[in-house]
Amino acid sequence: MRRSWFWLMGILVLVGGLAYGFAFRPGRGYAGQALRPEGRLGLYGYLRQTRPITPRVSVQDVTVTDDAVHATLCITLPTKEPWNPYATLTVDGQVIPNAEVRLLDAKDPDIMRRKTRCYVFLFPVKTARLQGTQATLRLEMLWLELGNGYWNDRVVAELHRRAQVFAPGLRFRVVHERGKYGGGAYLEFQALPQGMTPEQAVALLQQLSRDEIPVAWQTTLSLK
Amino acid sequence: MGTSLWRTVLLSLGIAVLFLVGVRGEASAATCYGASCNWKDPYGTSCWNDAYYAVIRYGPSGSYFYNGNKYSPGCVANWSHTQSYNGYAYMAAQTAGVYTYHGPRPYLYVWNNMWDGRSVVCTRGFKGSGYQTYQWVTPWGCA
Repeated sequence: MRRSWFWLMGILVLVGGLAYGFAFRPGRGYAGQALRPEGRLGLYGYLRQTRPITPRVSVQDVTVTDDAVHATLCITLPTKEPWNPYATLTVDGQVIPNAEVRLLDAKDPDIMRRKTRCYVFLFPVKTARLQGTQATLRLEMLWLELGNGYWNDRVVAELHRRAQVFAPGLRFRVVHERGKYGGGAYLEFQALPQGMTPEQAVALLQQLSRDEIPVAWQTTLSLK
Repeated sequence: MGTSLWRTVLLSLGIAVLFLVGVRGEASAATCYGASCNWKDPYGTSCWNDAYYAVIRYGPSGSYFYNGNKYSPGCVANWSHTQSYNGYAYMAAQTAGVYTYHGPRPYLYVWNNMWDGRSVVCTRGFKGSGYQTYQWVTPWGCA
């Protein structure tokens, strides 16, 4: 009988291990990964990391059209989560933020399993008078939305945790309303700290729902 | 004793197989795939959970919003997601040639239904001060 229990326990441990390994294998559930309060690199905190990181970046292509500069950068990201890069182009002292960021090979099923991803940045600028001008392409930051942008129960729990630092006592719930062709989300506040308006609470929670890492990388382009 | 042992082992193996099948099913079962996602709301589906931005189009300077062309690799479906980042706003999420969801009240973000991601899908977003009264629109973002 004791031998039976020994075998039973052994099998249960084996099954448990396999199930755990399968359930948490790499590449599954980006949203969950984004909710870890502290990551290996310390990137997951609600406070913006003050020291910029210097990821590996390579310029793949720069195309200049009459009304835009398109730059393709391949960036090695800090984790495999769906980080979004944000870049600017400085020409003649004018800072132009990216108007579009397009992930290359976005529909490759393995894209989120790779840490190095390539993006096309579009900067709207009339280039006719800028022939031969030097421009500075700057990767400003990487940002990541908790829950991939959707405030599910886990995101709400994490936001409550983060908000306690800045607005102790703030309590809220997220309401997702569904219509014929889609839906929208708003917040219902159950408790607001003294002196805080609902608008201020919304703004704070929006900030807290997004992790941003400053990046120190730039290069000079010649607009031909 | 021997019979009891084998019965225990077989029972355990049976439970193990059922458990693993269950876990695998939960991990890999997508709500829909490609064209079967058409007209479906991504909210609360597996598509919602694994989606990321294939393209982001920012609104004009001072508008504080963007439209994301969301793509779910598990469902192979796209949809439009419009997000304000300076508080609530009236917004719309549009997929080219298919449908537009107009938020009937100010929201944090709005989304629309999915569309087959096996071909190129274009999305854009609107933001304004009233229902279907928009001051800003993003250009199309296609993926």
